[in-house]
Amino acid sequence: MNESTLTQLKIIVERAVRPVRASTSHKRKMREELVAHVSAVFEEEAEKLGEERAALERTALRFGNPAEVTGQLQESVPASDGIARFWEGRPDESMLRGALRFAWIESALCLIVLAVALFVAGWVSPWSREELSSVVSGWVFLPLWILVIAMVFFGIALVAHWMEKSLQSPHPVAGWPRIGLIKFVTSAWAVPAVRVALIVGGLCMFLFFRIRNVNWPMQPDWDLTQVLAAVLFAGMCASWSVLCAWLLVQTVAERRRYLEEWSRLPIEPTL
Amino acid sequence: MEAINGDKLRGHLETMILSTLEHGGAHGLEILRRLDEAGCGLLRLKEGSLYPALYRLEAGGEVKAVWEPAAHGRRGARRRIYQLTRKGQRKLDASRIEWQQFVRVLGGILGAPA
Repeated sequence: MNESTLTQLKIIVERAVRPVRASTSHKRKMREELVAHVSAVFEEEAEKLGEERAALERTALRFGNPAEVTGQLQESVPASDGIARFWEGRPDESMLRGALRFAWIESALCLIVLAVALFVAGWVSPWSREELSSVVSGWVFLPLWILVIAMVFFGIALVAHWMEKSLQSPHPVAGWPRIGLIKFVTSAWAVPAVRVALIVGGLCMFLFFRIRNVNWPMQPDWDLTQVLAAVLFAGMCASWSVLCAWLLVQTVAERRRYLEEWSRLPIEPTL
Repeated sequence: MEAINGDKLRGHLETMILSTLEHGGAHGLEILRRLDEAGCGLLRLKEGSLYPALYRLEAGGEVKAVWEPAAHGRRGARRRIYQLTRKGQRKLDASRIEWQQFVRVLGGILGAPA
């Protein structure tokens, strides 16, 4: 099978899959499986008919009306896929909407984690009514966990959006190593899993130092060993984050290539 | 004998898929082949409609799917092999009982008992 035939087969599939509202990973699964199917059908028909053009037409006919298949595929998308789609955002989403969505999700996650932590803390050592009300109504509590975190994530989302845009821009920043660094960071941030990993990791570290009641970076009475241990710990976390980002950046580059490849296919019917 | 097209098959496709998988795991095209053989070539199913049904069954836990290993002697996109689950087997058994009842009742009404 030559490249041109494979493209024609992909177009048959893409006509049905592209309009489906589903997450990228879900549509990817659909595409791969359907391409495997139409390829096998095409080979079968080409062998039978002995003519490539006729085999392609027969393959498209056997596949069915793309609009009908789209509707059926849409019905098969589970409701849980909506979470992944919400997290990914729409391709044409505005910067402000994207930032608000991101801040909303992260704040909700933080509040859930906080609620669980409060519940567990209360379970281990039951709180009195006074203790509970002082924690919940304390002036630090609400601004820190709701307003401030939402604002921080709103800012992070704007920065992430700028970085993603800079990666896709037709006029990228020239020069090395800036271009490499920007590309590296933007690619890492473009992967939702990296965002979650780094933010959750940062929050965990923050909580760790708060729980330990340590004033970062050091306390006045720390000795050299403790300072060294803290530096090593921070270094370990930083290198782990960089390693994860580097590993995931390979994924995002591949994902971008994949999306570009499929979005270039002309799915409009030719006259 | 007249062919049976997609409209008449609607509502029965999922049960028919479960029935073909009772004979062992299969990928989409193999499922279609089994359906075609069992229907004596009289089933006219649009092949694109098979996969949404398989995805629904998978989401419902009635079938499970695994990607075919890349090195399977084929080039290009991978296929998924579908297997019937215990839940799927239970649904198939229940559907068979329902179908027998349906045929008995309608056969009686139409004056053409099975």
